[in-house]
Amino acid sequence: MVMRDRLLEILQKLKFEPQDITDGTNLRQDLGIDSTEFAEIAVAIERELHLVINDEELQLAKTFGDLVLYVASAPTVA
Amino acid sequence: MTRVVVTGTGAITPAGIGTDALWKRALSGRSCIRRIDRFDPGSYRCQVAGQADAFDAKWWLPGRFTKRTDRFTHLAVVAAEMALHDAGLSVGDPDGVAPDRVAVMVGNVLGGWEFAERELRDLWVNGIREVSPYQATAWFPAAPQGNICIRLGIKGRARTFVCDRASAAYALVHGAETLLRGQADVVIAGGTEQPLSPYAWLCCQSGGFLAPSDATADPEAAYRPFDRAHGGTVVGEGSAFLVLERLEHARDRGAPILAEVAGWAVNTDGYMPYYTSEPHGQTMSAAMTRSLGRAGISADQLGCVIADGSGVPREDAAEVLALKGMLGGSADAVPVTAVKASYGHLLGAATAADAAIAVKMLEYGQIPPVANLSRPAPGFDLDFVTGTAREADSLRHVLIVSRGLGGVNASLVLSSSQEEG
Repeated sequence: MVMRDRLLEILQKLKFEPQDITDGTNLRQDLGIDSTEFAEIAVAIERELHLVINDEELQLAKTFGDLVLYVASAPTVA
Repeated sequence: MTRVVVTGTGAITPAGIGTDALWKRALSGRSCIRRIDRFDPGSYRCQVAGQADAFDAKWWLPGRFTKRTDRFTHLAVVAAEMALHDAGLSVGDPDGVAPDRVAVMVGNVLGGWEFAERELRDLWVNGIREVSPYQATAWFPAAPQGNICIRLGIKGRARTFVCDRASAAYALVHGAETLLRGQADVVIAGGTEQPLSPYAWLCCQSGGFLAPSDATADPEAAYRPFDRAHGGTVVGEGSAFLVLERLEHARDRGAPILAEVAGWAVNTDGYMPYYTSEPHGQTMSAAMTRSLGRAGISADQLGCVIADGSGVPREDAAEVLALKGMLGGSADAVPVTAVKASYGHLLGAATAADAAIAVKMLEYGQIPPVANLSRPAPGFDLDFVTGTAREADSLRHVLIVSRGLGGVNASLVLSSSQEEG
């Protein structure tokens, strides 16, 4: 499964509506994600995908497309 | 004189969704206390409770809201919205009330332990990364207050009262005083409680007020206020809110006026060596009498008393003494009930539920009976309403007693809307 779909699955588990999300969806303005929810998303990605996620770097993502690119480049857990 | 009136009620309780379900349950005099199934209660001395099982938050609130919050907040937010809807009010709409003129007052005792227990377990077992980032804001007792304001767009004064089982009474009193001081035009006041998690339940047990009730006991018979077999309180989960306004504000917008909050008083009688209340009830009685004075009525004008009725023998005894002191020569003539026995003591929400029932009593002229009160304990010679509801066509004033550990006392007088003049 491609990273984009895996992330949508994770967001769905966190009670987002995946059908509302495209690569251009703005995480803060369109989805209302705040710093606390970013922290929740970071931990969920770590847990589900066994990746090392830096909370601050994750929050630099403006759109869902940015999020996909960041996560795709994240290192796996050693 | 400025008067404070009730224009809406909302409740989610073990009796069901809505104030009507609560009223019908109270009127029936039948208990809906049941064996706890939210967690394994087998190792606890009290294994029964009132569970608000009809309320499933996912049908009422978005998933992204419920994941951040504890059930005590879910109950509160929905009950507050119900009360506001019942009052025919909207916040911030062109024909609604201005957001900064709405206040919120919430009573709570325990906080959101169902959420917190899960996260604390993860903290100790799996480390800090596994703790929900919402833990800090989900657990604390002011969480319902904050979330009610956020969800309903309220910008006025908001406070949370943590004063044991009298918490909602304090919220209602402060709500009334906020209106009298002109600090709001509408107050949503009440309380919320969700004690059904292993640690919260242990706190209730350690508090020493729960009625012993193991797997062999009849759950519905466990809570027996003022009865010879009284052995303590049975607790329930739930939330109830009232919408309060100044009479002229309610009239100006053509609101239904359900009742008047005519009198109130609070005081304390913390008593050592036991961290509880005075056994003679004199201070509690003084609060009741002061609430009558504020309402401008005498004890013989009371149509009914809704007692706290904790079922804890020493508390029942002190309350009977306090009631006798307040009622004086009218002790034989004023009916006394205790509605909590039908659905459980809602702790920080208890007085708001009592008040919502009092509104219905005034509307329908009926007094619900005390469930499970078959033989009053010796010396408890008040006019208790037992068995079935009592007709009371001329019911005009109801006094509600509220009290908590550490000697927190409150007394409210609700009067018929026909008295509002």
